[in-house]
Amino acid sequence: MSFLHISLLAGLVAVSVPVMLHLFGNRQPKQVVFPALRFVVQTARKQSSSWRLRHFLLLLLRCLLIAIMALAIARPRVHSAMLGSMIGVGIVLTIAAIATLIAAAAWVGRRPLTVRWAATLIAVLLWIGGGLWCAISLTRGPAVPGGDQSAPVAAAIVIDTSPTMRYVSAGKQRIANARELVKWLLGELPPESRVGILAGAPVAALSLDPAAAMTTVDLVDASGSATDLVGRIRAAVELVSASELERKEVYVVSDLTLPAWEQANGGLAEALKQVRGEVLVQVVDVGDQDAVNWGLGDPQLDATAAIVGSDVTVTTTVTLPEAADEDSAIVELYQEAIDPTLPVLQSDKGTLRKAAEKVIDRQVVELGAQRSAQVEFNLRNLAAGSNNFRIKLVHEDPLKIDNERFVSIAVEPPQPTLVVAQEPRLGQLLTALVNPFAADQEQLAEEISYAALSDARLESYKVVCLYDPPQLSAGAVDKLYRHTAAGGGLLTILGPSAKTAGGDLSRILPGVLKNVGQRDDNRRFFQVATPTHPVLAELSQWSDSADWSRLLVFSNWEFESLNEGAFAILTYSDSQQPALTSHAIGRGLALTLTTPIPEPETRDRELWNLLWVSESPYLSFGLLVGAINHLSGFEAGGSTQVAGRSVTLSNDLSRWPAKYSFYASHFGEVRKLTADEEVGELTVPKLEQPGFYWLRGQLSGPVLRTLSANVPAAATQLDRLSEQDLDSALGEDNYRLATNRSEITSSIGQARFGRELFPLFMLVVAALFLAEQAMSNRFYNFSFAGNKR
Amino acid sequence: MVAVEQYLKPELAAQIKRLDLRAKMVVRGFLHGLHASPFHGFSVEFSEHRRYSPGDDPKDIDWVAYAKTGKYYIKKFESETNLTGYLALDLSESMNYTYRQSLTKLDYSICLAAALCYLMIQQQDPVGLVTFSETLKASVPPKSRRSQLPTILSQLTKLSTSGQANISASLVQLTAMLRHRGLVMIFSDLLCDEEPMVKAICNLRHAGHDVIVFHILDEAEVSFPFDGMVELRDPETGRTQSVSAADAGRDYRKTVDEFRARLERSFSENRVDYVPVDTSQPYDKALMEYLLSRRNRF
Repeated sequence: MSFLHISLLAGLVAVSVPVMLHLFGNRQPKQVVFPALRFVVQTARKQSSSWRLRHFLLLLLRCLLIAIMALAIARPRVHSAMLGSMIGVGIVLTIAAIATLIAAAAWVGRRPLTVRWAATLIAVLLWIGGGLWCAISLTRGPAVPGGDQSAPVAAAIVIDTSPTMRYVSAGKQRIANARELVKWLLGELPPESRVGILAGAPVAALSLDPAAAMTTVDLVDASGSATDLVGRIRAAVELVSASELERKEVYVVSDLTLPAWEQANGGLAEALKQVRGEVLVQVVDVGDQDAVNWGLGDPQLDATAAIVGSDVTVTTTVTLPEAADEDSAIVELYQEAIDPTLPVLQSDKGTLRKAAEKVIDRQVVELGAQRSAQVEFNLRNLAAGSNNFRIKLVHEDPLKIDNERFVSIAVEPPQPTLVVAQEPRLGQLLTALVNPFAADQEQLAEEISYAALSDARLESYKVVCLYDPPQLSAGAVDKLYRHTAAGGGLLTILGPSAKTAGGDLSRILPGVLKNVGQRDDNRRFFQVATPTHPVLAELSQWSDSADWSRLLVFSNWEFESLNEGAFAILTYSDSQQPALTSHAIGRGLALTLTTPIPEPETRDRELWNLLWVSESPYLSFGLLVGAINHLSGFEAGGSTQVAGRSVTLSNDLSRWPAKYSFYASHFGEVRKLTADEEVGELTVPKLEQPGFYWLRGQLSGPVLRTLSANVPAAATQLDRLSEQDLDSALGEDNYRLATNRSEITSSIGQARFGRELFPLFMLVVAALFLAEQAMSNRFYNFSFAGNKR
Repeated sequence: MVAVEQYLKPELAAQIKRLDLRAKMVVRGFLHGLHASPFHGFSVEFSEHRRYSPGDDPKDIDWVAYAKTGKYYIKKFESETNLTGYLALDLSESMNYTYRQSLTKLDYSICLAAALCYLMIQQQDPVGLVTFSETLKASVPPKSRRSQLPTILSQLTKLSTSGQANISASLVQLTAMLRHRGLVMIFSDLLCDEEPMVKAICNLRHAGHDVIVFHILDEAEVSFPFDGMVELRDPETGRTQSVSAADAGRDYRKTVDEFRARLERSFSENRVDYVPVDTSQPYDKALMEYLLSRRNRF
């Protein structure tokens, strides 16, 4: 409990006044001659006892009245969390006072002893209980925040920028409402306050004043991917905790839809609990209770890269809200013309002039009781270049962001591959893997034995794959080296046939072979060392469930050390020895796998690994396809992306330019990107918004690469967090919830300055005053006639 | 001009200094409002019949004579000469009390006694006066001469209070003193021990006397008009008691009412007339109530 000023409590001294008056100022009763005294005396004793009791009660009432009035004038405040306790204490003490009266009446009225003592005991217990409760609440409860309303605030404002914040309600997007609300909040802060706006970009410190923060707020917009709101709240709490300012406040402006809060766990609640009382966490709900949404699910492609003339199937899901009257929906497929000279920025308008787009398919999707149905489009006979498709749900609804899906497919001319293997069976397996369209397409892969290598015309092939190479002749190695150095790709899959003294083979390997490391205690498996490497792109769709630990490796080649420029894409979990390496040879690229895939089950030797023979060889399959695609220049899985992620593209300078102009509809400008020539990669910054992203460069002629980003369907779910969910995410008593400005004002006011007990005290004062009047009139009421006398 | 009836109010009667005039005014004021003589049945007895003439009260028609003769006759009465009246006044200290009235209890008693004396002398009844407090004090022997009135009135004007009341002892003395059957009119506030007092009065009745008890209390003793804390003092004993008037008043009034009710019951059982009055009441009320009850009884 705190007071406006502690000196105001000096008013409590006034309690002594009625006591003094009672002791020293007792007025002598008026003396009257009265012959019929005998009739008065009969009831006098009874009268005297009750009179004394009432006199004492009157004194008590007056003391209480003055004490409570003195306390009320001192403007007591308690932390709002303690208001309930204080009211409870008040009720108990009132009951205690009533019990005391009953006990006093019992003693005066000479009730049976048991009644007297029982009433007294109850009264005493109630007083003790109420007093203890009050003392414990005041000592253990949270302290009342500082009372200076103009004191500066350390405020971190977390804005939910999830895609659902684009939901339009009453003609305005939630994010616009959030911006307005935050600006109003900033206006309410004292001028010296320090502010941080956490809306996506990292914030190192509360460096803004409220006026400067307004400008930042204007730039905040909803992103195309789910927000890690929990992470932002955690960062916000850390920021304000580090501030030297006394008042610390965190505002979370969110529509309270589930996706942004899904990462909530007990950790945050625990963290907030530790700073409760010090940091005020105010959640502001800008969402709607009855939101509806029509939308398309995530697009699924049966191939992420294709060769010219092939077909790709794309499927998505149409979802309608339960409340919708319609039973069908129209979905259209648009295709953008392939024109490497577009887009260009129209400098006068700041908009993009894009290649023409036309509808190539339209489907009416019938929806059953499930309110969702799958829709499938066949993209036939794809032409070389970046093929951009847009799937559109033809319907107006409050959340438009998920009504369109964007698909980009890089279509390459065929890239021939040569597979060299001792065993024809394995060669065929690898050939089929590289060239799945072999049945009706031009033969793109061939397999030969090592014996035929020296005679092979390597220049006819883009990629050479060596499976379990034995000791090769110097000429053969030189041939491979030169082919690769001229811009080719080389995948070497080491196996039992390799020799420690690798001889000339070392020229095409990333280092000198040391020995075959063996382990059979289930501790060795692949571990991703370079997660963003394009080789792993094919695996990205399983990235969440990619569990290498079940695919054990028993034997593998180890290097003494890796050459300069060589690096590991995968390593072994136990030894950090490289499992898959990448190194440049001249203008070409070589990948080396140190344990064989595919590893056939053979009877003449022990298995080197379980990568191929396990129940789920898809990881091994994806790894091989990714490696060969990477070497042949395919951007497998790299074109159609989930919004909110950055993308790394392979950028072989023999095929792609080093500098690009980067376009997107929402940029309003042209951005420049430059590839990392050493690694041969191009890093594209985060694709924040859904849509197409164009990379235009110049090699021998104009070159265009396209990416597309989509809002994850899960991020546009409008299911709201229940109160229980919010309680479990933030901790029941760790935050306050408000939905409008007046609620915020009230909530913040209570949290900053506690709850005023003045009205409560004045109510008690009024009650005591009435009681005092009633009782004193009984003693001192002179009638008109009496006064006249 | 003040009407004669106005003097039935004690505060106006008090303005008349001479007691004889006061008694006269009271009696005349009282008689003025009556149709017929209030004395029928009271110290008068039947003398003769006369013929009924219009204007006579039909109540006075002798229906037995009518039955015998077939004519209306009116009963005529004449004074009884052998009923002796004794005015017995309480002179204890408590009688000299008023809180906010113009007359003390004693003044009121004197006025009432004077009026009754006047009435009795007018009908030639012998009237005597006895005063008492702890014991019997002065007395004027009963006579029916007209000169008796000034004698008694002059005695009444000289009365003053002193000492505590001992009604029972005084009345025992009085009973022994009275030799002839008579009418004893007691004027007292009866503030003494209840039981012996009631017993003594009843003994007086049992000795063959008609007894009328005028129980005179001050208005304040009936209504208890005090407020706040008061310290009450008994003028006879000097005893004091502090009370909260608001709390004590209710109980006090109840006690007084019970006391009066008890007396009325006891006296009624013993055929003693009991007239409770307080000093704020007009005299006529006291006189009328009493005389009408007398009349109905005979």
